Amino acid sequence: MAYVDTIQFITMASAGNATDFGNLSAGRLRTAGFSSTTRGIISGGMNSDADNQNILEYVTMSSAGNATDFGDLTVARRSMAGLSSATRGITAGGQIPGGRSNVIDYVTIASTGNASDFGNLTADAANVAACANTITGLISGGNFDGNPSRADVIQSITIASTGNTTDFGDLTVAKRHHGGASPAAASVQG
Amino acid sequence: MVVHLLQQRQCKGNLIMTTKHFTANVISATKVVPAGKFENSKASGVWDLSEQFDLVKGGNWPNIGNPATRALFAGGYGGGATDTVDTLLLASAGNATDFGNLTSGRYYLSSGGAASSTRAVYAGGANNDGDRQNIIEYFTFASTGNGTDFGDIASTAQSMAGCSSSTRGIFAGGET
Repeated sequence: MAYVDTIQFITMASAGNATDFGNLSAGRLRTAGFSSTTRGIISGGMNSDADNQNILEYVTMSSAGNATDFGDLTVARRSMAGLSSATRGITAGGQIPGGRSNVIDYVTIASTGNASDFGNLTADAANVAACANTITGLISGGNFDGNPSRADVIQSITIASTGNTTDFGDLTVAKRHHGGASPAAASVQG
Repeated sequence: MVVHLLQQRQCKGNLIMTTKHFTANVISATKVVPAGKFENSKASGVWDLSEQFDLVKGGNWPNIGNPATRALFAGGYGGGATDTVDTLLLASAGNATDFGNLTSGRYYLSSGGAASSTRAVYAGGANNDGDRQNIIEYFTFASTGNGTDFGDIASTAQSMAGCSSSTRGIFAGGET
């Protein structure tokens, strides 16, 4: 068992095995990822010493290479969800020492810098999944305070503004450690 | 894009407001010139301020809406490794519905799937026995159905981050 720093890539349009892209600054797991059409950003996570990280680092999607420092999250954590519009990237929830976090913070993907406070989840949560289009971000499932095993809750945010999440609906089953996907930043320019 | 053009016309000495429907480009280099007199004809061009005023006042000015983007939530731990894939539309609140299934139940998937305009791709994860997987599989947003094999990541791994441009997906970090 090892925490790895490898970054691999695939070409979306054509099936095939992943190919080496570069490396993170250090091995981490339970990070969150989000992207614009040009930049991919990896946030937070946990290192091999089991320390939560506040690192934000980025790669340029079109050219393989190692990740570069972008800035810091407002709170070091792991097991968050990442989502983005074409311009704004968001990291939501996560595991912190002794519990879970309700923090949502954001960065402007095209620039570099530290994350800023966006708002809060309805409760402290970790192991959530997320997706977004240019307007709406959804955060689903996870371990919640009050529902520590797994939740079926889907919460939404309006990416262009700041604020707390609101109820959107429910998953078909309660779950955690799942994956979210939507064609947002990849296909639609904001 | 269809816009509803509010028109003024005279009828027996009274000013009457009527609505005509045009397919329009809201911004272009030339003035609006409807291609026909009837609704759903084309009217490309620039809407001048008085026209825009009428359209806004009539509640007919076209807005860029919340795109009907499909969202997927795949796999996870639901008392065991699940293969369920849920879907919903981001533009309208509501409960998720069934989209299809992963090729096998897995949790600790890549935290975000990589996605192009047409495909969602998930990589790695752990099966119900806790064994890490090297599976990459994809779904086509436009049509419900089960996952299809895409290829493999370099080694079995779980808890990676995933993200993408329109052409490339990347999977970073994780536990091998």
